[in-house]
Amino acid sequence: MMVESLRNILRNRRGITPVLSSLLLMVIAVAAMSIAITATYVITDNLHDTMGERLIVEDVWFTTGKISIYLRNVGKVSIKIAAVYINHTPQSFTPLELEEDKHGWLNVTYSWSSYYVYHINVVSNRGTKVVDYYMSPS
Amino acid sequence: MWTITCLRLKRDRRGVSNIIVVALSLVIIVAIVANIVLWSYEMNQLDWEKMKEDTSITNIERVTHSSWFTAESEYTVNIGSLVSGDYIDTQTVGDPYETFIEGIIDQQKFHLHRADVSGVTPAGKLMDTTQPPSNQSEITQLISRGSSVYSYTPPISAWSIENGTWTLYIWASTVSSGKVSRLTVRIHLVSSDGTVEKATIGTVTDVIIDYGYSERTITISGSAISVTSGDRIRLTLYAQPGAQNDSKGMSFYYDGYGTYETLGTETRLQSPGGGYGLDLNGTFSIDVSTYPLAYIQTVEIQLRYRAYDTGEKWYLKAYNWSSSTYSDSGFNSTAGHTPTTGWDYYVVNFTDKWQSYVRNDGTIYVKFVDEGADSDQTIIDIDFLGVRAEIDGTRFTFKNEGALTSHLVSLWIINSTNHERYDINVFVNSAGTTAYLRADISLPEGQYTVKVVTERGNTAIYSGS
Repeated sequence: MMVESLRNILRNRRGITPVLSSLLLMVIAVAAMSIAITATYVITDNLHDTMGERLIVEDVWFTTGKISIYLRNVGKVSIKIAAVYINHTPQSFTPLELEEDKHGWLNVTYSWSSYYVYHINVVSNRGTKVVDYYMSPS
Repeated sequence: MWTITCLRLKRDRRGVSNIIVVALSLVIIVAIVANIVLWSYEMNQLDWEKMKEDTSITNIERVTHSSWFTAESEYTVNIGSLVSGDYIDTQTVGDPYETFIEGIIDQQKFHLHRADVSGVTPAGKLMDTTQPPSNQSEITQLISRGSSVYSYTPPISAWSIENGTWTLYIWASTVSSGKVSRLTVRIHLVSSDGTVEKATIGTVTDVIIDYGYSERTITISGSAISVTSGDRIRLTLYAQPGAQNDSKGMSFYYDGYGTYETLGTETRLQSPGGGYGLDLNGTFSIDVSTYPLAYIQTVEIQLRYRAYDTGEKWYLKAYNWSSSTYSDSGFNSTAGHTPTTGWDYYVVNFTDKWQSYVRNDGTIYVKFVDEGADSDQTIIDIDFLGVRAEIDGTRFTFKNEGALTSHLVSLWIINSTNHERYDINVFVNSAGTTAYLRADISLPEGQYTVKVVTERGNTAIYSGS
């Protein structure tokens, strides 16, 4: 039976082309969709994490040569602080990573002046920002 | 139908690819919906809840003491008896009250015997409630100058000995004619093997013993103590050294009858008592979860009572967990309280010695006792008896005017020099007000700001001074 079928296929050479074209089409479709699904997952995962970020500033404490910002992660994903801008200028700070519901001090080295308003912008590595104005003490 | 579909598929083979594309597109759509649409919905709800939250701090006040902690079970009446009422009547000021009446205090007489007590250090003789056998002859015991002799009771059962005068009747003489000896008498509560002096009941020194046997009556002022079952009372007779004392020491007759001792006039030690007295104690417990021991400054006891006669003083004491006895040592007042026959308040505090009287779990045993046996059988009404901790804490009042329950997670006390943060875990119901006490937070002097942060990320502020 098997031998007979093979003979038929070999005899009818015109039948091979449609089969090959169909197979090729399927392979292309699967490959294209795999790329599309992977891209979708990557993009939506990033979007998902970015949308889940919530960060608040509990307190800002001006001490000698330093501004300490107490941060609380009130979102649904962990947060890593990527940058701190004071008056739109990036500043050096102690690295801080906060898991869900965690909190801690973010110490920014900065020489501040008394009775001065500072624009402080804390940015996470996903781009979430917490921005406000804070007045330094006397 | 199925046959027609199969035939169409055979005819149009690209249809398979289309199905694959459609199926995988569905996967993509599901991923987008789950990761973006549903998540967006969830985060929007989080933001909406945060916006709906409305928590405020309505009041902040300094707290200098805890609430009163009253008896948790019926009082143990060691001497006397309960007449009416129960411990619940002593939990609030005002009617009703609990009434006790004094009972008869037995007076113990310990006769000095010649038998050695085994297993005690230092070695000593027996001192027991039994008189010497009537047919037994008295004997003498020499105390060399600078030496001591010891007498021990057998291990005794739990006993509450009140304040009062102990009396030692002793047939004694110095050894040499024309000389004197000076005697020191000590009474201790000791462990069953004698090695641990649990409490000094009383001491008297420089008792002059001159030449010639006679019955000397030596009084010793004794402190109240609680005897744990198995303890012994030890009598120490110490012939003092020094050239002014007879170098040969002194001696005394005991444990029998003859020229000096007769029935009823034996050498013996007599405890206080012989009248009416009251001795009761109760168990109190400070809530150490609200008032941690680390932040307690002292502990205060307050009694509101009425005595039906004014003839004796009344004392509040507490169990000292270090010395295992009831005591008022270190209290701000140890003079006791003289009643007026009306309702009286009697308040004492433990000063900075409070840690000796409070167990780690906050338990305090408080004793109420009269000054000693007397001839009046006094009736005592106790309206209130409680203990409280003195602290330097703060009470915060939070109000939630939002539609959702607020969970407060962070508290800040801020002044010009310090920003202090405390973890808190307080839930305030919608439209509710909650008072929150912290014994470990004392408000700073001058202007201060208090911030409280909710779990959703809102902040409430209160400024005070």
